[in-house]
Amino acid sequence: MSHLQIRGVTKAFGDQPVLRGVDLEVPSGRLAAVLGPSGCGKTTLLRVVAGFERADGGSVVLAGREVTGPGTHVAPEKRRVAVVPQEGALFPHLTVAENVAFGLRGGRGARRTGRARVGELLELVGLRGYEDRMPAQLSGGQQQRVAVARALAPQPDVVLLDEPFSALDAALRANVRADVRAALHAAGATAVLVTHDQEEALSTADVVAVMRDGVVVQAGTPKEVYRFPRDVEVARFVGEAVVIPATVRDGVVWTPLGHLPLAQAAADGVGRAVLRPEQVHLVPEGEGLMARVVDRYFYGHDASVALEVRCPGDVLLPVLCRTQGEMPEGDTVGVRIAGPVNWFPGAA
Amino acid sequence: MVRAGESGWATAWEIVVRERTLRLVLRSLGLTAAVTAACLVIGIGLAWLTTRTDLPVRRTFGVVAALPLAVPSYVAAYAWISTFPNLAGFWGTLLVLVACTYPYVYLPVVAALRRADPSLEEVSRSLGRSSLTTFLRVTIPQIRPAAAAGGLLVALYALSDFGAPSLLRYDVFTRVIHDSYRSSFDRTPAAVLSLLLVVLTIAITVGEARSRGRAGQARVGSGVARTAAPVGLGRWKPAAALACVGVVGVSLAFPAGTLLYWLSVGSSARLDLGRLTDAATATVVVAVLGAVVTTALAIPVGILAARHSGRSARVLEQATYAGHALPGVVVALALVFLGVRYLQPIYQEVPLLVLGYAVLFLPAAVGAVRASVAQSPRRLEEVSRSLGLGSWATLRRVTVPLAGPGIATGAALVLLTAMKELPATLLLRPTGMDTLATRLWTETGSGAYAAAAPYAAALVLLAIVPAILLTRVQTRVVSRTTAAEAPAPAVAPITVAVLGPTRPTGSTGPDSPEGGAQR
Repeated sequence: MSHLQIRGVTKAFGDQPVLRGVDLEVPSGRLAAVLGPSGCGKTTLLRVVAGFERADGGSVVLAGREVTGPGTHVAPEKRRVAVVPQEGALFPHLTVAENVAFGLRGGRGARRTGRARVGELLELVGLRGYEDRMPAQLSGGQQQRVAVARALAPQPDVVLLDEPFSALDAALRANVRADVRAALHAAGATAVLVTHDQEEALSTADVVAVMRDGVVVQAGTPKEVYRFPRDVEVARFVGEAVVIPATVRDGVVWTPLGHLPLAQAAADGVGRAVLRPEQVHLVPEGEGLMARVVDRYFYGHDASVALEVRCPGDVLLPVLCRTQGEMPEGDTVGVRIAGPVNWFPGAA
Repeated sequence: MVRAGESGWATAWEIVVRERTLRLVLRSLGLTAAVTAACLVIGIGLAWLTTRTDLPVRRTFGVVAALPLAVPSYVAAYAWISTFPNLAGFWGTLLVLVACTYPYVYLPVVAALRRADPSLEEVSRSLGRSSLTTFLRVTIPQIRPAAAAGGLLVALYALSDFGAPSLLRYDVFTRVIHDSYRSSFDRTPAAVLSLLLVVLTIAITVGEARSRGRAGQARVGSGVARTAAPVGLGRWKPAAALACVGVVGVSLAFPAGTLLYWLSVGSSARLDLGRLTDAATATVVVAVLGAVVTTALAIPVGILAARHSGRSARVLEQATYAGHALPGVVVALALVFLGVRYLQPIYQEVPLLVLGYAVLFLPAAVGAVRASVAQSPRRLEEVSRSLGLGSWATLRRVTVPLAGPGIATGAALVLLTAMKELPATLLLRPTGMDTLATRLWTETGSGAYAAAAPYAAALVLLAIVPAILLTRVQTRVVSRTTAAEAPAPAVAPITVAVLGPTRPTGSTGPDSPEGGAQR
């Protein structure tokens, strides 16, 4: 399998630019997630890589071969790029086995090896025994798994997944996601997953690329993107964020909630600090800062508490706190902030 | 057009402004309006009764109600006039045309009602609206595109029908055109009147297209719509059942009964079995030839029209509308003219007749193919390309198989209409060749009702085959597409087949980059 390089890809529909110079690199055998709000151009990027759309500029290099570039446009069927569209898009007139075998090159002799390959792939996605079903007889999750098997069958260089889990129930989504990820890893496939779901991107991918207004704003491991976002918008997009006014002096962030260590070195100045709700800890009343409980959200595996913190100088600051599930009994609590925070210069 | 222009525009204009012509226009339009209105009421009423209520034996009835499609209007006309000679004129023509054409409204509305999301009606009821208000404000808007398209078909049919008005001696355009073509050497009036008729039909078509509602249906989520719980008719049940029986009685049972009667009487009038078989064979041969040629032409054109959005595709779509608006009499006349002038070798030969069928019915077949191609998501073709199949292989293995039902619909529709087509066959058939339709025409023309009966019966029996096929495709399409992610068609196949699909709102194309996400 192979390396995917996207360099400076631009694309406009009419006079409306959709991609404004996208750069992205996916190492061989890795799963990259392109994360962005709807309308940011991520689906268009996928379609350019697949060859369904012609890029206006920039290049796409796949396994060392330029498939899109100035004067180059390799036809989709010659790219060795497989796609898994939203909702699977299985061929409704073919059985599961025929769907999976669709992209297998077939002479007469290839039929037997083909059948073995189909079985192997269905095994991989956990659907052995479903060979003769029609797509209409499958559940949404099963259809999605068949679509992944179909994409993997011709051993493509890259698999592109376009929001493949968004049509599934929340309960099912986590399972199918894990299965698909396992299947992709088992096949050693290089894959690009497009999604607007930050949890999905962070939990599934090896590389997360955050896209906004037609460019990749930040790409890195899930941890990097979450812990060290490039700007406030990225921070807000990859997770819940508490944004507070803050000033940096001598490598320390001064905020209404007290002074905190910097996550990334920064020059002195005025700006905003971003902390994650899990950095906000509840302490018994009387310790730390005093806060009023505004709202409580119980999720089962954890819980959030919306607070209004009374800072020195009688400033009231809304802060979200994540707990392990316990929630304050009374209406007032104490609050303590822990750990380094990210700080970005600019007006509050 | 050329024919009309040749004799000088002055003469042509004179014919147009004649008082007789004006009366002809009014009479034709009046009949068309009356037929359309009656068909809308009956078609929508029957469709609602058979899909949404607890009408007794509604499933069987649902199929039977579509069968008048197989009864050519002139056969029905023959059945009525041979029993009630006084029926000639406006009311008889109205009755016969309504009885024969209401399925054009009924079928698409049934499909639309099946597809309409019943939860919308439930919401309306839960918000305190009565069932009548709900029907008017929620249900009717949902079936409006289907009903309007069906109504257009009926209007075009009524305007262009030749057999029924002729047999019932009601002077409308088609009849006058045919008579003036047959009876005089000067064919200018026929040509001028044809042009006028074409202008009228195009005006109606364009008017309908303009007035068509733009509201698309929005549905959040991809859940499958449930079937609606039937409405209890209560004490209205007997009345509703009676009304249904009445419609079917008038449109099916009566013609069938009359045919049987004349058949039994006719046995004394010496049935020429050889002639009947010849005519039946000729009917099947030319109709099948027409269907094969037309469908073969329609497949590439339909795919092109559905998959390429450019100027040429739009022109093609417009041509589809215009093509359907051409009455058979007019197309036949044009081909006669063409045949005499330029195609002498095939004039009055089978190829010219088949060409006539192709010109007349190609739009219908193209529409059917186009609609089913447009319904299958473009994504499937993209997936196929990305799996390493070239564009031809993709066409062969994905596009055409998925268009299968559409192609079948188109072929059945052409077969059915070609069997029933009277004026084109009459004018273009080879000398000495008779189809069931033309034999029937000749016999009834001379008042030999008993002699006509076997031909009429044979024609109806033959036409029932494609009619049933159409009905089944029509009703099955709905259940087959629900599981696939194909967006539900906006209009039922039969209407689409003839009118071309109403463009789905928010179709995914190159102009909506993230469009897929919103679907």
